[in-house]
Amino acid sequence: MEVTFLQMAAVVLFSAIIVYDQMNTQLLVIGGKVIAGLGVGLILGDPVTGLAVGAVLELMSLGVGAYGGASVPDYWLGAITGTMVAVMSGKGADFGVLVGVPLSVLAIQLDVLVRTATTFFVHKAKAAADRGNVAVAYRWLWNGYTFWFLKYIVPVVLLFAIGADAMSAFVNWVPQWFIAGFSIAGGLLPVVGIAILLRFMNTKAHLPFLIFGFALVAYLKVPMVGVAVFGLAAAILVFRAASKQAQAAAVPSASNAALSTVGVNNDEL
Amino acid sequence: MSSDIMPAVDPAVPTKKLDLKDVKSAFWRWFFGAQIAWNYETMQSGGVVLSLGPALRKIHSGDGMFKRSLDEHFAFFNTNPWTGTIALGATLAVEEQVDPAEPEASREAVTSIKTALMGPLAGIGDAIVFVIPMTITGAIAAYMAQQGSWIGILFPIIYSVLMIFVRRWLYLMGYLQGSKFVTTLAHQLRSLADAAGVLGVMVIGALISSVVTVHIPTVFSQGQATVALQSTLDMIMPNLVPALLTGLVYWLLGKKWMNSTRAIGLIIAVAFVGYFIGLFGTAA
Repeated sequence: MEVTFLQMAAVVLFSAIIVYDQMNTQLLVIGGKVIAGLGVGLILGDPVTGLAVGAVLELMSLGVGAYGGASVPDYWLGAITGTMVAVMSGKGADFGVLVGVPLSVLAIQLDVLVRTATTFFVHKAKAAADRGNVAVAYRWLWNGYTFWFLKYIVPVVLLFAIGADAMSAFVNWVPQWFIAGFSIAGGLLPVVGIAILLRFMNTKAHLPFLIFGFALVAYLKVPMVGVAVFGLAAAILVFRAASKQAQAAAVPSASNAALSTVGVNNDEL
Repeated sequence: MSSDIMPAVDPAVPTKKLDLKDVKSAFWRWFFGAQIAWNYETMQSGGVVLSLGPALRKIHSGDGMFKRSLDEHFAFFNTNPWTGTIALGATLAVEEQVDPAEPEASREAVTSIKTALMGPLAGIGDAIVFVIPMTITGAIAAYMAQQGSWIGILFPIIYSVLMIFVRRWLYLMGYLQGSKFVTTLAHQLRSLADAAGVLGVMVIGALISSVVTVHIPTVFSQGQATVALQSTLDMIMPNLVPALLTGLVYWLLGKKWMNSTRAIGLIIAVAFVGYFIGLFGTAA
C-alpha cells in the first residue's frame, strides 16, 4: 500500500509518544504492545492487523521486564515495526510477527547503546549543577531523552525509506515454509511469556489456582474476563485469611516497637 | 526496615520548610521525567535531580548546601518508578532536617534513607503494582485483541491512569511519614501480594488454555477407521500440548543458562521442527 507523508509523520510521532511514556509517565506500558500495534494499525488503516501483531508480542513478553535495567528485547518496537511491515506489505499479521520478533531482539543492541550514551547527558547536567547553573542542568536532563527517541524513530524512518514496494518484494522472496513456521511459532510463543510469569510468581504456593484457571477455560470455556472475576473472589478470600494471619503475627512485633520507643534496648530481637 | 536508618531525625519536629504544594510539584516532575536520562552509570539519578531540585532549592538557603545536596542526588538510584515515590518523599522529609551546623551526619541520613528504601520498594513495586496487574489486564487486552477487539486495551489503560493517584499518594505519604510508613504497610502489602498473586496465577492458568494455539493435523488410519491425533489428545485433556509446553519452558527457565530471549528462540525452533515433521500445521 502507499503511505502518505501525513501517515509517516503520525507513526513517527506515535512511536515517540510510546517510547517517552514507556520510561516516564508509564500509562501505556501495561498492555503496551497491543496499544502500539493498534495505534500504528489505525494510522495505516488496518487496526485489526495491528491488534493481531500486538497481541502475539504482548503474550510472548508478558513477564519480560527490564527490571534493574537489564536489556531485554524491545517488543514495543517489534509491535510498531511488525505492524508497519504487515500492513504495508499487505501480507498480514503472521508476517508482521515474523519481522517484529527478530527486530525486537536486534533492538537489544540499540538499547545498550542508548543506555550507555545517555551517560554523557547526565555528566553534562552534573557539571552544570556544580557550576551552580541549575536551569542548564535541568535542560541537559530533559535532553537526555534524545537517544531514547532516536532508538524508535530511526528504525521507523528506515522502514518507511525502504518502502512498501521493497517490502512486498522481500515478502515474495521469503519462502513459504519460513512463513508457515513463523505462523506456528506465533501460536506457541505466548508459552514463553506465561512461563516467565510463573517463574516470577509464587507458583508453587498458588498451584491449585493455576489448575483452576486452566480448567475453567479448558473444560467450561469461561471467557478471560470471567476467569478474572472468579480470581477476584478467590483473591478476596486469600487476602482476608492472610491479613488475619499477619495481624496475629504483628501483635508481638508491635509490642517490640512500643518497647523501643520507651528506650528499651532491643538489639537481641 | 529498622528505625536506625533515620538517625537524629524526628518527623514530629516542626522544621518543615516545604508545603504540600512543593511536594506535589516534586511528584509531577518525577511523573514526567522519572527515567528521562536513564543511563547505565547512575540509572535514575537524572529523574531524582529533576524531581527534587526545586524543593531542595527552597529547603537549603545556603548555595553551598544546595549544590552539595544536588551533587549527592546525582549518585546512583534505581527503584520502581511507581512505588519508589515513597523513597523520594521520605528523602525530601530528611533533607528538610539537614542541619547546616552538623552537615556530615545529616547528609548521611539523606543518602541512607534513599538507598535503604529503593531496593525493597523496587521489589514490592515490581510485583504488586506492575507484574501482577500487567498479567491480568495485559493478558485480557491481548486475548481480546486476538479476537479482533480493541476494547480490551481499556483495562490496562484505566488501571494505569487510576494508579497515578496511588503514585502521588505514596509520594506524599513518604514525605509525611518516611520509613515508618513502609513498616506499617509491610504486613498489609504482604497479604495484598499474596491475594494479587492468586488472581494473577488464575489468569495465567486461563491464558495457557486460551491464547496458546497449536494445530495438529496428524491423522492415523487403520483400514477404514481414521483417528485424528488432535481429538485423541483432547480426550486425555483439552489444551494438553500448551500445558506441556508451558511446563517445559517453566522448567527450562529454572536453568542458569536459560533466559527469555533463548526460550523464544527455542520455541521458534520447536515450531519449525514440528512443521517439518508434520506434527504441527498452520491454521488454514
